[in-house]
Amino acid sequence: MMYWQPSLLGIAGLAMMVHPIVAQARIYVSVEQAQQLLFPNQRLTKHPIIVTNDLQERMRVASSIRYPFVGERIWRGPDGGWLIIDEVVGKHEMITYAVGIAPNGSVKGIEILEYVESYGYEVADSQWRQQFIGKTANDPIKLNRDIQNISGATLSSKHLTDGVKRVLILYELALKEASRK
Amino acid sequence: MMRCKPMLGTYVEIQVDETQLGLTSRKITHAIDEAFASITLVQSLMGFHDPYSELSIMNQLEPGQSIEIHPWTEKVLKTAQLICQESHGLFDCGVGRQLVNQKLLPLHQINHAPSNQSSILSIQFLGNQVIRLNRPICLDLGGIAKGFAVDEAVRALKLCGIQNGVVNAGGDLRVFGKQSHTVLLRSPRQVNELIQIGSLQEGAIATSSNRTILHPRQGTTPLQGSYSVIAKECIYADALTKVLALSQDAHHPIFQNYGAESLWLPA
Repeated sequence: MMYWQPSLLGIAGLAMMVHPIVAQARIYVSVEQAQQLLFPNQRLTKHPIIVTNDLQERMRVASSIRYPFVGERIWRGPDGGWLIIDEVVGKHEMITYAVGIAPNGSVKGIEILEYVESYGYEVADSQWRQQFIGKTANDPIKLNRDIQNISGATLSSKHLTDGVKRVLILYELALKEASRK
Repeated sequence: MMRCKPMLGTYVEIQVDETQLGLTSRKITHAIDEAFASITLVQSLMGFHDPYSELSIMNQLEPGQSIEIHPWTEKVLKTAQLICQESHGLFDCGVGRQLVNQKLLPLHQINHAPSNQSSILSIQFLGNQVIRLNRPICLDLGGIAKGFAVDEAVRALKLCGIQNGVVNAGGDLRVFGKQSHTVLLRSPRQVNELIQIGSLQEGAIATSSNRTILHPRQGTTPLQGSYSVIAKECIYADALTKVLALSQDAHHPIFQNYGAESLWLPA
């Protein structure tokens, strides 16, 4: 049975029900969890690379992402697959994501590790505390659970699409050769 | 456990409590994988951006031609047609060409439909998932398929034994299980504000902003604001936000047909 209890104060726009977002972080999975999800039961080995200026430039052209790629968070699977962790930064958001690449070079899967929204005002943690107001010891208080089910204003994943493009260029130019060794 | 993947042009989030009765964490992970797989299937069947989706194939059909479609596509089309009739044409997925003209969708396919003639009502259902067109169509299922994808993800989770959780596809969300969930809405006035609008149990809420909604015949966009509908299933919540936005009537009789509640926050 559906049960909907509207909060009339919030709908009337009273300030007490409005939560200003200053910097909210949503943490989904850890690096280790992402590795397990994308490469279940495989032992990955860390394979950092030095990103040359030439490679950096080619990744920039292909993806139109300007800030440099950091080549430290790269892992290699026993079967020739790869896992790369990267970040994309938008005007108000920063997304850390993992891309799994199959041995044949296709995208095996993508997992978002962390999503941080920021509106650049004073950094305060008041909005976090606000979420816990009115909760008793019986309520399960856990970050990202029971709180913040946000509707409205679809967030576009365009930035991430650009991010995946640059990861694929990285694979093509720097990792593919290593797969064969 | 809470996971998130880029899908349906947005971010899809699945939250499942780690303590599900009788389920190991491996089984919970598998259940979430299944839910994401359902959404991937909906995307590959009904995506406008994908030139090889079933939707794109239908959009290239000539009148009189018939094809067999996936049962999920059939369900979405039938629901869309019903809501189109009940809303007297306010909700009509035939607006694809207009959305292309407004550059909200890509132009990549030949369709035979002039923008003002395309309508979901031109589809005839012949049974056994076979459809035929009376007239050429240019459909965009963006206003309903996301809600359906959320419902299918919830169904997949339940089939795997998950007892409670939340699926949120960029603001179209559904909660299931005994817990009730606080729902926040992005303020249409201030991007950095969230408004607590209520708490929901065993139901769905979808929100549309005016920017991506077009009147099927007049081609106009509704007044600025955010339009939300709460319903038992997300497919109805999603589609009915368009009826709310275009009718500007929070008491439109259609909401009663689906036991739905509406909420309109002007900008």
